[in-house]
Amino acid sequence: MTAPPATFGDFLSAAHDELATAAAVSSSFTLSKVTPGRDVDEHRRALAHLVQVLSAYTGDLTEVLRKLPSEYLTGTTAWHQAVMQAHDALTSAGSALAVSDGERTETGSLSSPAAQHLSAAAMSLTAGRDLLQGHFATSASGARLCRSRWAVAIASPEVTSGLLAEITSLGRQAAEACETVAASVTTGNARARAQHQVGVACEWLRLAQARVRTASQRAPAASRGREVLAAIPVNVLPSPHVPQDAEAIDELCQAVTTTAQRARHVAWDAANTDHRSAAISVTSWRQIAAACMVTSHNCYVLCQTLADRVAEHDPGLAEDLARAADQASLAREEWLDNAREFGEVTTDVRDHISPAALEAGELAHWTGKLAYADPDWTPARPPSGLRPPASLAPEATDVPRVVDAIHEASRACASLAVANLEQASKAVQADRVLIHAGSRTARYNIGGRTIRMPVQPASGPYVTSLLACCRDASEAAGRTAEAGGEIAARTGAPSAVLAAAKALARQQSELPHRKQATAGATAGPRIDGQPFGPIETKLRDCGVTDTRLLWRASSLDQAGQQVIHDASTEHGSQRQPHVGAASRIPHPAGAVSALRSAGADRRILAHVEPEAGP
Amino acid sequence: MTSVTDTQRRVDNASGLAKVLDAAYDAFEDMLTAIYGYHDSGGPFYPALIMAAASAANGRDAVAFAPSLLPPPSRTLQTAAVPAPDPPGWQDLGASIASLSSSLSTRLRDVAAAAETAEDRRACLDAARYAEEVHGLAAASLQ
Repeated sequence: MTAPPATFGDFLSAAHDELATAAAVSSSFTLSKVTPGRDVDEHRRALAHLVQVLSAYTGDLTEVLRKLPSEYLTGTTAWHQAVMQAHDALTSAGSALAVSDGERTETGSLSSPAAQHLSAAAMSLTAGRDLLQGHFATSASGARLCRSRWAVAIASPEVTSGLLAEITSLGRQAAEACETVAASVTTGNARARAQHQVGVACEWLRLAQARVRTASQRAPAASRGREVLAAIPVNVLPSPHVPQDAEAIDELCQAVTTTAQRARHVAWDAANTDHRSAAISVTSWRQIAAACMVTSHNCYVLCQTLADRVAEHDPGLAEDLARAADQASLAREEWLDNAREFGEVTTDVRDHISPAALEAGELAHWTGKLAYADPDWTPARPPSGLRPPASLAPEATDVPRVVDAIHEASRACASLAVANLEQASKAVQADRVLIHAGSRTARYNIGGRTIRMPVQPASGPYVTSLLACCRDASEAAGRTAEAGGEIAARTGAPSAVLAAAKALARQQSELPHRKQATAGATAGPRIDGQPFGPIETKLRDCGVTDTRLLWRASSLDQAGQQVIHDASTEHGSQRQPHVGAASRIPHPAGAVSALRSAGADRRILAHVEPEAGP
Repeated sequence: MTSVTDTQRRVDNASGLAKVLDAAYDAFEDMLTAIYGYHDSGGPFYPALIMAAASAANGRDAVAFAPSLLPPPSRTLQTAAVPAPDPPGWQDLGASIASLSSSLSTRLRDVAAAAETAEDRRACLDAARYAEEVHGLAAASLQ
């Protein structure tokens, strides 16, 4: 079996596991067993490495926000605030741990098991960040460009908030793993200093998570954001899957799924091909249209067969499958019209078979193997017997894997349809789509070359008809994919996350309208209806309008409230402190110390002092 | 069907590069018309024919770019200009297309060998290759 492509969830799980192990190892310490010096310093170095990686994540998230106009930031959501506040907290944690700038990036050799696990978590998260960054590119002008269909989902608020929650949760885990070391008895100035640094950093890590927890309470994030986040694959072409047993259903499903993923990957590249590229060719368009027509038919067959299989024990699912079959049938007809249109035109470049066209052919092949009883089925075989329903899904538990294959295949067809539409639109604009003319002596200047041939650039009704057909095929394929997504969600097929990612991407594409709606918001009471805290109020009273400073002030106000809340929960509320209207924040000494160590502004510290005892 | 049979006769009887190219162009066009006509008629779905249609269109394009192709009275695409003949069953259609594409490939390779210009030779060989693809798909479906 071919290993599935790594996902962000793999790295996330690995990091969580490493930190859980680090915490377990740490908790097995007794304070006296901590090796003085070694453990403390190694924890500090390993934690510094981890915090550096965590703050790189939040740095990525704040980069987008920093580019927004301040008017937008003032009227933005609790989650956007949390991003900025968490980043500030993580940056402060990093500063607290650093001895010198040069040391921040090097952990050196580690012999303490807990520190080793902290370091391993940092490495997992580094790889995970690389995975996410692999879905983006930077243009020469510095603009962030999407390199895959996942990129749009990654940038969505749901995935962003899911990522922030994960990052700060990992920070909290790391703080727990360092608790014993921070509380151990050490001797010597250097060790005590390292221990203090770890303690302060842990405080910041807890504050970072508290900020996110507050945002989560005010505006609960959709759980699908975290699901999509975990499912984001590495942005590379998956290896093809060749079944060892060509008659085993699970192997055939795997072949369909892998081929569909490959097709989607190359379809993205095809859709983004430059209009002058020699990779744009009518030969590829034709093969894609023909192959997707076959695939749509095979999906239609599979949906019907599966509907027969589940009709008795799940009539609702059978109805959904029947609807999906209808959509696949309609898509097949649209592909037929599309293929016919591509037969009536040509392009300046021909005979080029693109990777997208090759994968489309493979997809037709494997979906047919799954749909038909003939083990030697190929598209060249005559119409033959269908696979019996009991063979396609012997048990009810086998249904999701077939649904998964159908959904993946239909989504791949939708991506290929978009690729054809994009390429055809570009080729039309570049006068690269040609129609057969009456005279072979005509001369045309195409792409800077004078060509004598019996064709002329397509225009008027040919172009209108061609592009309309491409759009129709794209929409029909999209509807089939949506129907596939519904049955995937209903059956719990793994590909259901694709539908969720698609939905997030769609919402994200509507974001500019939402931005426009909030762009006019003016400075004033926060949009969540809460009053300004004392620090923020003070800054505003002093005439400070810098958005970043106001963010930080708000962050400190809320962090103070959270600490007080935590303290009163843990120790019992003997006297509920009043926060908000006062100009001084009651604050545990540890937190104030942490703020001071992090280099907080003196003007801010003047308003944050330890609360007097009861 | 009648059109495909007539075209086969033209292909078999054509002599000389220009006439073979002319017959080949029409042969590929007729295959497309017959295949789409079959599917429009609501016959059982036949994947091989759909794939063959793509190859037939590629073959027609290859012929169209041959310098020696005669300028016919109306070489523009005959979109819906010719009424579709009665659709045959898939086996009959597969058999006639397999036969036509086989003849086409042979004739195109013959004239390619005698072609005077590289462009003509390349056009003939490319078109012959596509005719063989059509034949492979149509013939396999009959086994």
